[in-house]
Parts: sequence; structure tokens; C-alpha cells
Amino acid sequence: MTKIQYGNGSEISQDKEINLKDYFEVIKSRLWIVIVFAILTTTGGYFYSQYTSVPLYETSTRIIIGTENQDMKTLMVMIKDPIIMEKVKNELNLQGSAEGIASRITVEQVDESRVVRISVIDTNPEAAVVIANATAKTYKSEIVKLLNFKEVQLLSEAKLNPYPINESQNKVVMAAAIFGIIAGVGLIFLLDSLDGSVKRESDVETILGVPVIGSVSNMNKKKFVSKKRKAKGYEVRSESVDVK
Amino acid sequence: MTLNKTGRATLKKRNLITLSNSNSIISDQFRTIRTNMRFLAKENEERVFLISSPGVGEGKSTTTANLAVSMAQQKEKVLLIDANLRSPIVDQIFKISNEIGLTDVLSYKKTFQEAVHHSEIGRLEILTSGLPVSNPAELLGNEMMRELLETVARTYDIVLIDSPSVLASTETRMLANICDGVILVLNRGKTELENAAKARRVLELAHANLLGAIINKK
Repeated sequence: MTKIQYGNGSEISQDKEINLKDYFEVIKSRLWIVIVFAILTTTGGYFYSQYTSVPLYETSTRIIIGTENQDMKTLMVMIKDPIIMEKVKNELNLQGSAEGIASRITVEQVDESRVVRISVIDTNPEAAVVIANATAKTYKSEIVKLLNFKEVQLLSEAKLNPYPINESQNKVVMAAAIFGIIAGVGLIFLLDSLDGSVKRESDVETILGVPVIGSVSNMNKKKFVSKKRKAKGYEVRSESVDVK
Repeated sequence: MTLNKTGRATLKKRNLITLSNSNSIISDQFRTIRTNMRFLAKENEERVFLISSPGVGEGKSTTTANLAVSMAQQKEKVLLIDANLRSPIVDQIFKISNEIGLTDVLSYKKTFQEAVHHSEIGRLEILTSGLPVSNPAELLGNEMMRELLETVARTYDIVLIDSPSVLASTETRMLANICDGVILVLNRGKTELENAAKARRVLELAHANLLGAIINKK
């Protein structure tokens, strides 16, 4: 690390030895930086998540496709086919492309059965219900025309789900807080490595080549009243040690 | 003798902890420094100490004043000289007049006995800087200063000199040369280690006797 050359040729090099106590002292002396950083990034993260997150709602409808497994896959893929999606879009007067609607729809087979669940995610809970039901209905009528397959039954209609599925925005805030703490600690060590001021008595003794004969605490009020009311006779005791 | 009466009542200033709070932790720390200085000085019968620091604002004057009071409280005959002719502050710490002081003595306008203040703190006597002059380096560098120090070294148990910073002014080097010992005040978290090393080199060049360091904690 830093090396400073002194008059008598001796040099001080900072130990690379890991000393946790030193690290702790370094952090403790500038702890306010960590606190300020953590508060700033946490509030930043909180507002970020508040302003950018849009609540998403999910709902699903179930249909029964009356066929064996090999055809099941084809029939399931057909649900998200642009032909079906285009019909749904036109029927509901939706914005965006057919692919855009398809991307919000998930089709899955329930437990290897003939029941297929069509889940829809939308920013509007009612729109999710409408899209899910329209998809199932359109699929049922269209598949007859496309593949001449009639074994589709609507099992359960989509219901309104008023609770957003992405409520756990705390993750962003937590990540921001952790980032703040790490950045704060990093800054402390950066400042510490740039700071070449007097810190330890041993450094002073090495550089000056003379002993440190004493240190004086900061003269703030807290320290000089601390022993004020104690032992009035104390001074007399110290006076008794007289050399001259 | 006459001037010392001014401001006796207001002597308790915040900076003079050793006087206002003689039982505080800080006063204890000054007692420790006092004791250590005695051990350092004993070997060679050193009496005249210069207290300085590498840079400005590291607590020289406050440290010197408290140390002087601490020594005076131990019934020693102490003389405190404010040799910081550029920005004297000792008179403000003790709340005494600075109309007559070191500059008058060095320019032969007054005798030392006329200029010195007798404080009521033990046998502490203070020689303030005197009115500002245009040539502080020449005044402190002349033969009168050396003579003055030789004289006071005979009459006082200990002489403390508050001086400008080592690196900022040249007169400190001259003073360091004619004093028995130099003590550097370093401010923890403020004094750069590099400046401390520079100050040491400067003092070595001046053939000063660097005795020790006092660390002022922030």
C-alpha cells in the first residue's frame, strides 16, 4: 500500500496483515457515512419501486380437452395460436398485437389430466377475467373449424382476483439498502486509504523518532465535566509528589 | 505587576481546562504529559521547551497554556512565553492585556521584569507576545532572544514557549535552535504524517532537540 520515505531512510509500510479490530475501528470512526448511504439508497429504492411497479393481476379459467396425451400438446399449443388470439383481440377490441396478448397467457396441463388451465396476467383484474374467458370460448369454437375437434368443454370460468401477484416489492428496497451499506463501507475504506493523517501513536513514534509523551482528548463539554464533582481532595494528593 | 489585574474574574475560559476543571480527564492527561516531560528533561537539566506543531491550528497554544497551568499547579515556577508574533493567542486564553510583551523586550523598550505578567495560578508567569511587529523573524532571531532565554532559564523551573508552526514560519526554526527541547503537537486525524516527517527534517536541520510529541485527539 502506501509507502512514505523519511529522512533517515526508514519507511513505514502499512501492514497487509488482516486485523479485524483495525477494520472495525476504521468503520466505527466514519459510521455516519454508512448510515447516510443506507438511508439514501433505501429511500431511493423505495420511491423507485413505488413509481415504477405496476400491480399485475392473474386469473385463470379451466377447460377439458377430451383426448389422449399425444394430441394434448398440439391442442394446448393451439390455444395461444395467432389465429385464436386475433379473434380474441377483435372481439374485445384490445390494443397491441396478437403475440402481445399471447405472451400474457400461460397454458398448462393440470396434473397429467385432461384439464387445461389458461392463466392470464394483466394490469387490470377485470381485463384478465375477460381475456381468459374469451380465449376459452373462442378456442372452443375455433378448434372445431381448424382441426374438427369437438371434445372441448369449458370447466370453470375465470373469476375476479383483486389481489396483485407482484406485491413483494420489498426486494428492491432490501437490495437498495444492502447496496447502500456496501457502498458506504467501500467509501470509508477509500477515504481511509487516502487519509495520511496521524492516527496511531506508533506511527508518530516511528516517523518522529521520539516518544509520544501524552495525548489530549477533545475538549468538548462531555469530557471535562465527567469527573468534575468527584473528590475535592484529589488535587492535594497530586501536589504531595514534589520533586523540587 | 500592575497589568495582571485586568480580567482576573474572567480567567476561567473554556480552553483552560486544567484551571477550570482540574479533576477532569483532560487535566489528568496534562498531568501525565507534565510528568513525562519531567522525566525527559531531568537527564540534561533542560528547562526551556518550545511547543510547536507541523501545521497551523493543531492546538499548540491551548496545549501550551494548559500544560503551563498544570505545571504551575504543582508549585513550580513556570514561565509561559508567547512567541507566536504573527497570531498571538495566549493573552486571549488567559484574558490578559497584550500591550506590553515579548516584542518590547526584544526591541529594548522594556525590561523583562516590566513586561511579564504574574498570574494568580500558582507561580505561573506569562510573557505575552506584545504588539504585532513587521519583522517577527528578525526579532526572534536576534541575540536578545538568546540572552532572554538564558536569563529566564536561571530564574524559572520551567519555561514553555508557544511558537508558530514549524512548516509555516522560519522563526520557529531559530527558536528551536536556542531552546533546550522541542515538543511537537500533532492533531489526530488532521496532521498529515508526511508533514510530521517534514517537520522532523526541518528541526534536524535547525539542530533542535526534538524531545517528544503530544497527540491532540479530535
